[in-house]
Amino acid sequence: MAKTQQADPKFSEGHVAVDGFQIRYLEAGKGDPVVMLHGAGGLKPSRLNDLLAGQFRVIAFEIPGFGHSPVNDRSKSMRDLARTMTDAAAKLGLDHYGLVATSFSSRVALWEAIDAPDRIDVMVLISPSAILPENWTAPSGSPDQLAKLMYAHPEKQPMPVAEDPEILAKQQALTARLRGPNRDPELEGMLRNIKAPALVVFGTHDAVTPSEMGRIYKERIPSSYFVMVYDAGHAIAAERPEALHGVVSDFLERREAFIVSRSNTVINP
Amino acid sequence: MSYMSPQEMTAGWPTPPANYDREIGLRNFHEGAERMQFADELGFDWVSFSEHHYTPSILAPNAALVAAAMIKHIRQAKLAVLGHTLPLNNPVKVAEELALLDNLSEGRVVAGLLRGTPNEFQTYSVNPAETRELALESMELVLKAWTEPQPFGWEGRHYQYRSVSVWPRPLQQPFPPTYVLGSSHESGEFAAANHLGLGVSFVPINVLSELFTNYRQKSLEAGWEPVPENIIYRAGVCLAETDEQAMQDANRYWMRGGNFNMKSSVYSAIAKGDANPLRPLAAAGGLYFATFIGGPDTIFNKIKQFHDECGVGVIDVIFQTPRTNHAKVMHDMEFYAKEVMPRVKEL
Repeated sequence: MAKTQQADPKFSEGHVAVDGFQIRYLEAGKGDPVVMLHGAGGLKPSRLNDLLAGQFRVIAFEIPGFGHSPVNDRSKSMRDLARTMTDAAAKLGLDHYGLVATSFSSRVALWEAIDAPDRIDVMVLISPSAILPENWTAPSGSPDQLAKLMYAHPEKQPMPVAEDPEILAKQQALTARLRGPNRDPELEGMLRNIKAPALVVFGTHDAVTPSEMGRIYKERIPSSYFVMVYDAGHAIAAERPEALHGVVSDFLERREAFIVSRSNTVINP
Repeated sequence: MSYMSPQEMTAGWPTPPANYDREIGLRNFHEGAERMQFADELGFDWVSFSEHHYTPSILAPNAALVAAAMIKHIRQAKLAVLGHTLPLNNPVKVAEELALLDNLSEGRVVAGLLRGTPNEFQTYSVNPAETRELALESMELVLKAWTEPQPFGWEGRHYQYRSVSVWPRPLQQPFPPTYVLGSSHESGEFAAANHLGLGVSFVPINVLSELFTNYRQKSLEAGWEPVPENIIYRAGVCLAETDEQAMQDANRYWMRGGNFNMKSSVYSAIAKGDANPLRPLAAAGGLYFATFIGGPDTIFNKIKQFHDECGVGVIDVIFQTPRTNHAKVMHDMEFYAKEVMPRVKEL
């Protein structure tokens, strides 16, 4: 049974030293631990994180090289970065946990699930960019152009806050260096080894990572489920946070059993 | 299809089931099948099936079921299911039914997806204010259910499915020729964005022209250009030997209103939810008015006008009303097939 939602929790900030990095994280909530890995835009306030913290102990890491952290020129690859993030979770005493990754960090999450199968209980990939069309290029353009790529309804989003150009440039350089090829044969060849049940979520109007890519994850990851959130673009949490939270929290809680409805359709007793 | 004179039939919608005469009803189904088979023999390209509820006017609450029953009797023509009223139907089941029908008919389905008319929303107590959103989400889900090769979940606003995996797949790939049926700009815009055809019923030519212009513009913005076969116009046809006779027949057989009439208070309540679906009904003065009234040349010229000015490439003609009998409908179909249809096919 779904746990009662609480008021929006207050996230506390902490740091953990791993591999020579001081990794910043935000934590809130109680219950089973869920590690959140952010997308290429960095660690930002997220309605999804707020909602999940009502039911789980949420730890949202800031990947080294993002935000105000120093330039990360030491992580050699996404797989290398995955080992760092797994170690960061271990340093916080998390023997095993749920792992939720968005967009850019989906390859990190997949490598974590491959290389640390006994630590990852369940995995959720939101708008993942781990498997991309052959001719895919990273989104770019003016703020208006980017908004049209990120959202199904950009007109409904608040005006974006101007970001520090140095931080932006640092983050873009890191993602470009680590991203790797659109199709990574080494990674895709090992997806069949993933033991954790995996939920892969796409917005139906994702103009950055087309929802059709979801079928490849479904094909390759043994215990995986592919879900589309209707009328959402790439930034699903911004456009349909409740719908995203509903399916993600249910999957984190019940894994494969999430396909069994618990809906109450009684109108009047 | 009613064989009871109107004064014996309770007016208004819904019509009480107590009015249903089982012998007349059965005869209606037999004669309806005969007409559909005759249409196929006369060379009509499609036989179309629509969904209506709680009325003696059209005894087909499930269009796909009627189409399936006719598969062995309609040998050449396509089975145009025009179509499922989406707010009343489970969209995944719609996708399943049409895929199944496409296989049973060996690839002869044409699919129509629509929001429906205000009386129909009340069939299953669907909130009129939600029908536009229901229809749009349903259409998108039907298309995904047909085309997604892996099981998928759907987190919609109105529909939630955790695992959709439609079998059989449509025989026609990626899916049967599909039309969005509706007289709103939203219908045309969805059709344009998804490379689907557009079907419009009964509206005057100026309204159709406006809808088509919007549809064509949105299609061009989406990177493609509609051809005539992408546009259906459904119309009543009152055909006679002469224009004068046709007008007399129209006054006798083609009434306004009919068994879809609802109380004005009900209309008002529907309009509070969504006034849009009431527009074509209001413009038409209710259902059952004939767009094309006249002798063969007049009918052809009017159809040609719709083709030339609005790009209509498919004309879905209705010959019967509750006041016409089986013999007259058979006669009118044959007359049209002989005197008008060959010229229409040349357009």
